[in-house]
Amino acid sequence: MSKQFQFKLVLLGESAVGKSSLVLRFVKDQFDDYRESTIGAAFLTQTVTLEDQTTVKFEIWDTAGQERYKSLAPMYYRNANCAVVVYDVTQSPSLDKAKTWIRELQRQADPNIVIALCGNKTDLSARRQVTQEEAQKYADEEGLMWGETSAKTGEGVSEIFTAIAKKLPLTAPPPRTATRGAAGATGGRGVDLNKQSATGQNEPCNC
Amino acid sequence: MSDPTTPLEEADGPEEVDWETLRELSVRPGGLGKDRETIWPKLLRVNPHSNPLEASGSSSEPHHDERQIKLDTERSFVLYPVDNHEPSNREALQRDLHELLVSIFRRRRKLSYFQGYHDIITVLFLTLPKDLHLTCAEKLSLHRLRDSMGSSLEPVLGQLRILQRLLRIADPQYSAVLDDNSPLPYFALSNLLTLFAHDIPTLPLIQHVFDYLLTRHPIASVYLAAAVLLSRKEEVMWLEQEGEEGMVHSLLSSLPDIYEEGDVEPSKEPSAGNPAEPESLLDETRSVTAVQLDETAVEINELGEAIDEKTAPPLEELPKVEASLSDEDWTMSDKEDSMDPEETFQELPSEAETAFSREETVVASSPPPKSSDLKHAAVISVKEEELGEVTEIHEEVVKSPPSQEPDPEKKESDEESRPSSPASSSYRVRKTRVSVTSLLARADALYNLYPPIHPDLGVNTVMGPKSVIFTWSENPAYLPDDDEAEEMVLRPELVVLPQVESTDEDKEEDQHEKERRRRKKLKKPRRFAGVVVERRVMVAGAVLVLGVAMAVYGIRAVPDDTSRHHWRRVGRWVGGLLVGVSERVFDGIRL
Repeated sequence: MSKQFQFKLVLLGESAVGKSSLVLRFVKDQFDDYRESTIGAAFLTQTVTLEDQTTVKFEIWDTAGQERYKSLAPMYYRNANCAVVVYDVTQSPSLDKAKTWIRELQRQADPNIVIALCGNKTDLSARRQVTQEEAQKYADEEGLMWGETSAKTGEGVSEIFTAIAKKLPLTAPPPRTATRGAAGATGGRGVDLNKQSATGQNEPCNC
Repeated sequence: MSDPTTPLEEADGPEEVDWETLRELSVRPGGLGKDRETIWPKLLRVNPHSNPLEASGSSSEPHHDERQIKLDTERSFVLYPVDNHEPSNREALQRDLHELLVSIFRRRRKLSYFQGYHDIITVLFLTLPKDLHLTCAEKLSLHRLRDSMGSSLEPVLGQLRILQRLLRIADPQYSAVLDDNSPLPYFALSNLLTLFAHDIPTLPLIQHVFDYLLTRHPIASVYLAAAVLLSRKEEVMWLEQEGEEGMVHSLLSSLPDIYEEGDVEPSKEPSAGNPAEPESLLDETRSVTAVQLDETAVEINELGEAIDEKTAPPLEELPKVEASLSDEDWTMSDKEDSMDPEETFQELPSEAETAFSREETVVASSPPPKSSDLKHAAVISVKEEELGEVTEIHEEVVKSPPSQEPDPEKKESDEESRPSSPASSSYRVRKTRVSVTSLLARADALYNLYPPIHPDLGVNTVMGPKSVIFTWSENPAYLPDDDEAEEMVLRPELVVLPQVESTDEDKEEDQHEKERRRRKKLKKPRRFAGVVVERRVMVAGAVLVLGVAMAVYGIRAVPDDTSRHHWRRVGRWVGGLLVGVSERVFDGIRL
């Protein structure tokens, strides 16, 4: 039987850069022109099969972009194996916001977290404000994966997730591989939302 | 326009509102119907004859949230109105909504916009006459939504804590499963934050829900959220058993399939705006009509032997529920050793070697039911006297797609072979289909059973004196005036009280509470008494700290006239019924 892995992935980024659309494309290969804003966070899963038949199941937490929901984010990125930080190539400020998220991840998240910087909305090429060179240069400096996508056309979407799957340390299984149990299997791995209660002082989710 | 049956008087000022009658109407099929157009403004204390657009306080200077408002209005009107397929129509609506939102925030500059607020205002926008949009939205914001319109999420997290406590007393077993999934019921965040406007898929349904909420105290949304969550117990238990973590969040952050009585068609879109489309979870599932509101059944679920023990509910007015539930419906771990995991904080030796990392996560007490048992559970029929109706649960489909091993007992191998997009990985979850009226009635029942003054809810230990929970009143004379209300968002520490206790302590305290009740009921020697005692000490410490903090806080609050004024009213509201710790804390504040 081929190997199976399971990883927790969190999506971060400014409001309306297309986080939910990106996930929807990845998970269901769909796109809605009108996608409502995300309140709180949404959860989905999708599995990627690599060439060697290894399967990587992503447990995806898609977070809300508005600043006021920021305080919930640690709950989702803590214990995350990978993070996709999304910006909108037509909005320069969204790249700055992405950089803020990346700094936070570098400080607060698991040191081994795989971070991918993702420029979305490449279909809107006429309105592009962030060049590939600029984003890639930043990603290289920070040692991040980088890619551009269009959730609308699907361009680059599966590529970026597959690349993450390949980059995740498949040789050293993450703590959560195949330890699936019955009821209440949240202990110790993955979405252990309880865990966060042990740390942090100012996080409202902590109360 | 007002119907002769409408218990509202025609008058100029904020007239008398017959709240009781309107409340009653609001839970009937169709709610307030067409009359809501005139009733809502009265409920919101908007004087229909005043000039709504007087420019006082408004400004042409952009509000700091206008960029976000634009981002959100540009993706509004997604689900309704249904005749909105013309993009140009939609864009026109979006423009008008945007204009309205901008007006509100330029007029009340101290308020902050939150994502989801636009969903709430959309409902007003589509319901009320245009000339009342701004004033109604303003009143709604200042006197009901205000807590969420400060700079942070804290106040709504306070509401989530109250919701959590409500669930714990209403259904300890179920709430333990939920607690195990999330430290707070975050899946209800958008329910509370947006008064369900973000989540309810059709305009008539959300209007009905607003009929319900606007005829009640602002805390009613917490009870309604609890009613919704309780209606999904079956589904949650299923997912829990399947061990798909995260899926519980996914499931609960969308609503059940809610319908209006009398409507033939079920609502088509089960969820709004959540990429975790419930369809993907629930397509291949069976459906269930409502579930039970009763603790008796819960007790049965927890412990086969507990059937005739009337226990946990702390109130006397227990719902008398007859549950026919055979023992084998839920295979319990008590067979292993006569001990309930929930009582002992002992790790549950579950058949699948689930690694529980901490005691707290174990307490979950989710019965490790076998799938066949759950199928049986679906035929439970529970008589809900509270709701005056018999809910019946029926199975439609139990089959999973072929790729899915239907028997969780073979789960391990199943895990290995499972294909896996959410669409393809199937969850044999029953989709709850429930009428809006039964949800509203259940919310009322919960409110009556566990009113806000219930000491276990600790509303006054969570929300502060400037919260709408305490400033709102049916009587307009007691409402803070608009400017005063607007100022309140600047004192977030008086909207939601600083939390002294951590989640864990909180949880422990609560478990200690459960513990206490269970001890009473079981009268069995306890194995882990040592642990329990130790926890009790910790809890006592936490309570002491809390008490001191509250006292200090109370003293600080004294010079503030308005807050004292409000606390007096709160005092009336609370009616001196508080006992124990709550009372002491409360007195501290009232100093």
